Amino acid sequence: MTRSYISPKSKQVISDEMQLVLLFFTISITMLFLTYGFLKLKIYTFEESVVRIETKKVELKNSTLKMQHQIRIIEQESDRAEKVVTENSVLKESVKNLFDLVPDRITLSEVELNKNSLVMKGTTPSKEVYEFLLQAPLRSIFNNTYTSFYQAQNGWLSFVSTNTLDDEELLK
Amino acid sequence: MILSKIMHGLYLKIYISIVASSTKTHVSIHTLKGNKIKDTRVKVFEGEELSQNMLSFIHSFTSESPFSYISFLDYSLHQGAVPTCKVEEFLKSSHKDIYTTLCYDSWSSYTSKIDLGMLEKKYSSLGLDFIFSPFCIIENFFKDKITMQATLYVLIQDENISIAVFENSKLKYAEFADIKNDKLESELMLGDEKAELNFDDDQMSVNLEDIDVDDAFSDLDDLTNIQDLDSMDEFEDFTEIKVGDKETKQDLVNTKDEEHSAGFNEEYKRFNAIKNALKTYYTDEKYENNFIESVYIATACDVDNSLKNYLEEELFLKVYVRQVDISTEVFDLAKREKI
Repeated sequence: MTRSYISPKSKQVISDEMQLVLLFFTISITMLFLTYGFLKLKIYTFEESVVRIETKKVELKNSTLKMQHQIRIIEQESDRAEKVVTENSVLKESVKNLFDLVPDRITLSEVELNKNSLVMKGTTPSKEVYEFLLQAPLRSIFNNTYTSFYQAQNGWLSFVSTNTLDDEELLK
Repeated sequence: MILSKIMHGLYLKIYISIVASSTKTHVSIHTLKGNKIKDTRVKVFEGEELSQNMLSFIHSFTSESPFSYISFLDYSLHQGAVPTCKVEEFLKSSHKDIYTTLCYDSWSSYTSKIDLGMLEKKYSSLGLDFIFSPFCIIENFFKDKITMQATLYVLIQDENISIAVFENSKLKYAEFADIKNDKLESELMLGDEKAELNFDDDQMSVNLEDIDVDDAFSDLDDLTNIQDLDSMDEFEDFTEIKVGDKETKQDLVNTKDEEHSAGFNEEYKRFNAIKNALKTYYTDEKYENNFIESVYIATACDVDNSLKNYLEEELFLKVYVRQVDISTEVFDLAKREKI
């Protein structure tokens, strides 16, 4: 319980000038800390974005590699397809040529076309017809031609012609 | 809050107590480290004005610590204490606004707002922190006694006297009187002003018809102690004035007045103040009164034994006199204030 008619005046531990200096330093230090904090935050967000970009870069790199791989596969497939198409067209041409070779008097019952061989089965009215009309062009295409004949029921001759190409011829 | 406590712990606390009268000012300085008194200095300055010496003396200590507190003992003539916290019950309604009051548990002290303002203004260069009522000094100094039955407590200072009646730690009555007061002085100067001693330059005589002897000596009716009258040779000397020349008469009157004043007069004035206070306490219906058997006197100045004799022989009181160092008491009060 107070016994005094008046209240004590507030006591200043620090003088006004000192208070001003301290205030200045406090504001400066606060600003420094705020700047430091701001920069720290910026650095953190920058690092975060760097990590994110790095991850994205890796992902993109992986994706590029994957795509390159896919492109390679597609190119290979394309090449293969082109090759197949070429081969097919060659084959088609060959088959067409082959069938063009076959005279009307000879009937083919089976044709087996392999990479370096052609096996034809059919019927011919006679051995001479075969030799003159079909064997001669076959000999000009294939290196080796073997033909075997056997008698068919209708009086014609069935034949099996096996024609092969040498490896050297194939490489050409 | 914690910072404040740390700061208080780091610095010294300096309590400066100022007790002023019209002739001198006591300045005491207590330096505290924590709760321990580290140093105490006392210096008395002439006069009551705030002199340059006093200022530099005080500033030499206040500059040591920011936590320096200046306490002052109120010496306003317009102060007192009442046995209630409702001061308006005791003071006239017109007076209510001119006093600053302070309520304690069951009693209040009051002082003039104007005097308080003037005091603060006078010491504005120092900046007062606490102003205490002398009744608080009484309460604090006699704290081990006021718990008793109704007892009279008196604080005597050079120029004033504070009188209080406490019963069971409760104030029952209080009075503040200035013993240097002109009114009282004139009453006790044997009515010399009323006598109007007219010394005529030409006639060099005294108009005895103007001297109202009955009125002048009326106060002496209170002096029943015949021994005290032995010192009052003035009555015989006074007659000599009639036959002397002007200078002799004047010197005689002045010399005798001074002796009168300095002699038993001061003690008589104090006695008179106590007697009047007791009379008011017993007769005024505002106060709850009980019979007072003893009086405790705390005196801050040299008091003649005659006061004790007056009180014992005239008022039949048991008198106990203690010396008090008021500035220490003021420091004690200031120390207990919440800062």
